[in-house]
Amino acid sequence: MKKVFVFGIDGAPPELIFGKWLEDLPNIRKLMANGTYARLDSTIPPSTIVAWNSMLSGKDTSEIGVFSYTYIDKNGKSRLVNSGRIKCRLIWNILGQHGKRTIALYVPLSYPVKPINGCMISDFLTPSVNSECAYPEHLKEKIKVMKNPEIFFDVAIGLAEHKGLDIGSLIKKTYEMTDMQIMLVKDMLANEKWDFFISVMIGTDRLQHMLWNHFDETHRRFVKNSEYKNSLKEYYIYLDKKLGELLELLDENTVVIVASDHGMIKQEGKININSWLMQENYLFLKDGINISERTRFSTDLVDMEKTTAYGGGAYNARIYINRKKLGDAYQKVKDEIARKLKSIPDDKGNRIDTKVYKSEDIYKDTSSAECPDLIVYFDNLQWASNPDLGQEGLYSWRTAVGADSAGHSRQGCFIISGPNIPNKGRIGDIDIRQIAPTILKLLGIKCPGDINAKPVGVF
Amino acid sequence: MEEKKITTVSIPAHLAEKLKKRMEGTGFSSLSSYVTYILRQVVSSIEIDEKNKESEKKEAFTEEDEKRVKDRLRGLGYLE
Repeated sequence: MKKVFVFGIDGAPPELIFGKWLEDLPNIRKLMANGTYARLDSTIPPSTIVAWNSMLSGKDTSEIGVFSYTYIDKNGKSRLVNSGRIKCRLIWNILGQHGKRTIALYVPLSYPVKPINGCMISDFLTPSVNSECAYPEHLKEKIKVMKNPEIFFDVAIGLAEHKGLDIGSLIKKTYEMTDMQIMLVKDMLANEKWDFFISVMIGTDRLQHMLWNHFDETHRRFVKNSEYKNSLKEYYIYLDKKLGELLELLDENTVVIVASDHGMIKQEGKININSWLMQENYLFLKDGINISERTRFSTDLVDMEKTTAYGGGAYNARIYINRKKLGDAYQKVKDEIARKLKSIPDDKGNRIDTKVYKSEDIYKDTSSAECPDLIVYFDNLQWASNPDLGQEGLYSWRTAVGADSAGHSRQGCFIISGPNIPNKGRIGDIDIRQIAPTILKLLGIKCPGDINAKPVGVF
Repeated sequence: MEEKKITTVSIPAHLAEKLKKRMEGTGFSSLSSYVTYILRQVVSSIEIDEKNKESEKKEAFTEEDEKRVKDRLRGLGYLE
């Protein structure tokens, strides 16, 4: 019986994996040479928690029902998103119905874990090893005895003060985290039965956010002669070696997929989206609101009677339009805002390549209150969005939150190799939603009718 | 090793016929082993559903945990 093993590398950009650094990644190179690979169009927006679940469900952002890391609960309170917010079936639900066993390790937005036919260890949103991070629960014990369980799920602890964070220590901890995560992957490969296995490595994403300006000479905040110049590349080389060790443990019936959920792109700066909406008279704050420097934006501050639109979002911008107030003028105003957003220049007055998506054009289900009206990629995501208030001007470099070096880009990587997989080399770009139907087909399971995406062309 | 105990249950003959047809080409050698396989799957999926319903009632994060993870995400610029 065929099996499928997915090695997920969060945020691995095709420009580096398929291009610049490929020479130094022998295991990835071998899989590419023997199989088929493509650039992968991520979800809109290319958010980690959404994209992995799109890959594992064949569904778009709106069908998954997650638009951001937070949502408004029934009491009007902003809450952190969790696995219970996912509206659609995931591949292990479908596989379980067919008696197929899944091992899913560290898949973003899998906390708290839910029982599946198989085993699950949750992701970087896990608060600690004492939470609902493992199914069956006894698997927790394997993490508890490791060297540093505190950073098992995410190395980003303490990053909130990242401006003062010692990069060297972040890198060291990222290796420590990955070592532990890989150790458990090996343990599960040795001790569990499975038909489908996925593990997602988050270390790449964490380092990329922090280290991009240490190696990208075109970055406007490029650090010359940085001692961390090669650190990201070295981590990829290490990860490729680990992948090689895992491949050794697989049998000859296993198809291997290496995939990333999105890519990465240098970040020029942030566009103060709500300041712009105020300047254009779309957004009005309630009377008497005193804005100090770096006031965190919240809809509590907004005068909804007067306001036409407000914004959110970190790497991309989400624009919410006040349909109730606009009535029939909604479409016209939406078009107008989209047009004006596209004409926002960079800080030097240069035209930038901004993309604006209307939710009805890209999403199947726009009924959720969380669903934005417009999704904006400033300069194809090279400029991020900053919803905070109180900055001078339209651009900011340092915000109340956030790493400044790089953000998510539109495309990730996809490589497939194994028994009966043709050696097609590079094929045209694929959609992230095609992966779930591909895995189902490999495992001989008919794709449910509610999944429209087609398998990747390797059959 | 403990010897496997088995028991007999009755099912309608037309259901048995239907199952025999479905069994063709599956690799199962007897109707009993095929029916056991199906029942195990059904029971396990009911158990999973029940556990899922239980966990849906619970809050995913305690207040303290939520604050902790939100801080982590802000540090990454994931959270506005």
